[in-house]
Amino acid sequence: MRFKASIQNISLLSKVAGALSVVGKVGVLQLNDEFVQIIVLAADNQSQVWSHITIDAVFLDYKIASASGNVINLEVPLDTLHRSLKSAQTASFTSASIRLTKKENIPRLSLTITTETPASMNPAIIIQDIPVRVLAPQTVAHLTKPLVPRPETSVILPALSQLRGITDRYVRMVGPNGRIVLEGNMNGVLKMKADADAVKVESEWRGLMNPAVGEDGDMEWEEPDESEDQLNTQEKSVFSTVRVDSKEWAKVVRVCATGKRVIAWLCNNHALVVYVFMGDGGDNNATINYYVSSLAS
Amino acid sequence: MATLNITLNPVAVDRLYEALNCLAKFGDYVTLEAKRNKLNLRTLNQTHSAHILICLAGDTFCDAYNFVPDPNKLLSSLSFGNNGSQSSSARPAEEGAFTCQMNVRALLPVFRGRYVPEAVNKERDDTLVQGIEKCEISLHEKSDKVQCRLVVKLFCRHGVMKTFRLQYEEADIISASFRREWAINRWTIRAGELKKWMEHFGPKTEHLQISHQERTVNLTSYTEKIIDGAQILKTPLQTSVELDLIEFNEFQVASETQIAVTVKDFKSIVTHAGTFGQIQIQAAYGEAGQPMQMTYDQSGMFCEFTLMTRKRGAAGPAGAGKAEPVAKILAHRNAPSAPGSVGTRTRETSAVPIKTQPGSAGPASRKSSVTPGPSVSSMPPPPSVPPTASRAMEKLASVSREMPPPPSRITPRVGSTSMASNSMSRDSPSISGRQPSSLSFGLRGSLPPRPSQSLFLMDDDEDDLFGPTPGGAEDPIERLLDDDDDEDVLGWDASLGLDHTSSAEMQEKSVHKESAAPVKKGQEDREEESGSFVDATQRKNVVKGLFD
Repeated sequence: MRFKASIQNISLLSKVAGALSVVGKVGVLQLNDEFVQIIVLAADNQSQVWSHITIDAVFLDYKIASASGNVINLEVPLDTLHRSLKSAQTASFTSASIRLTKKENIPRLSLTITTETPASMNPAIIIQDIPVRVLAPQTVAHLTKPLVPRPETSVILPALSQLRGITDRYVRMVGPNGRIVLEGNMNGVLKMKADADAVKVESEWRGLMNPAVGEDGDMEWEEPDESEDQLNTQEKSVFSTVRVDSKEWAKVVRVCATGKRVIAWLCNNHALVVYVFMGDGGDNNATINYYVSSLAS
Repeated sequence: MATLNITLNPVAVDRLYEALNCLAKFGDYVTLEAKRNKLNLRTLNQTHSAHILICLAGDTFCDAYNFVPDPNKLLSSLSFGNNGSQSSSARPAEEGAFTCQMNVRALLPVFRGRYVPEAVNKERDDTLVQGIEKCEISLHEKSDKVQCRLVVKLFCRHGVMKTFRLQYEEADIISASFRREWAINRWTIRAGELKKWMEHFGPKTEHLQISHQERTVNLTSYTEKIIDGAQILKTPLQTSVELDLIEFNEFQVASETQIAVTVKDFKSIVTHAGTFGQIQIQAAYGEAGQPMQMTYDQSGMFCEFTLMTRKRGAAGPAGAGKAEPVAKILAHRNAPSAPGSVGTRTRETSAVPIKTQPGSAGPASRKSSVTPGPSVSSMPPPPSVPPTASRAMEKLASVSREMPPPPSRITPRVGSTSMASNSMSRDSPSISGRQPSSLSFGLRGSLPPRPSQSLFLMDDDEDDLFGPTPGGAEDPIERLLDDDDDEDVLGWDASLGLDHTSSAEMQEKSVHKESAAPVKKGQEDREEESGSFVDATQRKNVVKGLFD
């Protein structure tokens, strides 16, 4: 089992790791010949986060070899990964590489960062060893991307800094285990509602963009059995509703805030799916898909 | 009664805050030791593996500094110093230094964020709106032991004055024992640089190993916790930074020398040093298992950190690099076999009749007050103050008329107990293989002599801590700490008022004592000086009476 690569876009990788460390402590890092995938599963089974990074977007000289079809599955502590990647965020950083190794009987992802010291311009080398656990293929066999029906509403989320500020206030109002209701339609309207014991609040955004479902390449959905006609006849003004745990929604918004472009899918009374495009161009090279099931009303 | 008056400018207040903040990362208590030309702040961490001494120079750090020792203590300690064989090593006591201990967390808010322009720590000070113009610290010590307080007055803008009356406890001075002659390895680096490199280290790793090859220096963090399969992901991030030797201004370390210290301690030191502008951190150490000393200074603040080092992989009690002596001292100090010596320090035993009248507390009575404990040979130094004493110090923002006596403070004879126990450990026959003049605790006899050099000792020769540095004879540290040279020069404001009668009385007293126990010439001078100082003290008390 071998993995070795130099990192050409460490800030993108660091951004993804930072966003994922908001969601959970531990993620499953899947490495193969074509892409890198990090999966974070919530303990309560209410949400899953799938992050997808194409190799060219981040790595150079990517070398991987393993007995099971050049696929390596690792369990990685996300905050440690993020922290170590941040070491490269100095102006004098020159190059970085990562490899799978074993030190003191613990498998580690060893990150080597070369920087230049500002005073003497001499190289200084920082090595960060992240402890990992190697997972057998059968351990991760059950991990499959959730399949969602074709969403009734697809909407680009409003300005994320504003959304985050409002969300934080909502979360404080409804308290722990509170619920937040999201409603959206294809007329560019998104509503966020909180209905707690003592308070009832509602925010509404208008004039949002409604991208066509499947406009971006990597979005996947399950075509319903119903005919296209039914979908097409659906009134644009009909709202689809999802109910999510307030803390979960706060996490979703925090992850969204790290991205360049965010599309939310509202599958009526079923699920919320958020596509976060991390790359500078908002392209498909690095994405985070956040799946949240809708709570019963 | 000792008199202490300090005036600080806002920059110095901020510096003092940063220093206290650093001390708070090591221990809960800070020991204040006022001497003629400087104020020492010390902290010993809980495991006794780190000792911090921050020295504020009276002339350069403070706008004004005036300390007058307690004349009674001065006199008695003088004669005491003469009746033993260790007159040379009991110097600080001779000078009648005032010592006390305070909860550092209670001190922090007093000095926090009082200064806005040219803030030391920009991130923190951006949100500040209040500023001060001047800070005055004075000691209000009274013979009736009811109203002993350290008073901090902050003169703020717009004529607002804030007064903090802080309780303090009696304290023993503990110094780190650091043998410069063993510290053959030394390096110097810019604090800002080192701080930047240390930022790469995660918060959870335990130890930092410092090693070097031909051209490079390696800082590597590691943990010695045994981690089983399930916890493998909780293994701390292991970081290694490899620097070219050229980053160091000086690097003279014997080849193959590898030492390890606690990452957290090292980071705390470097972070504090980084708050100064461009200063150099100096490190000096011997082999692993011997203490390491890190020092730096700027604008009259001298910081000295003594850390126990260890050898990587040398875990377990048998490990040569384990900081074993430190642990033993701790165990011994907490041993319940020392009620006698506790007697003078805790409230419960305060009923024990102890002569505390000024002047009457001669060396003989002092000794007797401690001897009820176990046999002298096995007497440990007084144990550290029980944790309940942490509530002993409160901050009183307003001037209150009725102030309860400080709970833990019984007598202003600060330092006397330490002196007594000092003398005992020195006289102790249980010290095997050590000279009586050894500066170590009595219990040190049970420890392997070298290389497990013990880290701590009662303060009786701490001025050697700052011994000759490579900087040369003109080193400001040396100049500051060389009390013998400086004490005649030390200025105090004679205009505070000279009560000639009292002065004469005091001098008579001194002469009387002198005749009982002849002293050296230099000490005579000191006594004369102290005679005049007493006037100032008394005068101060009168002033304070008006204020109350």
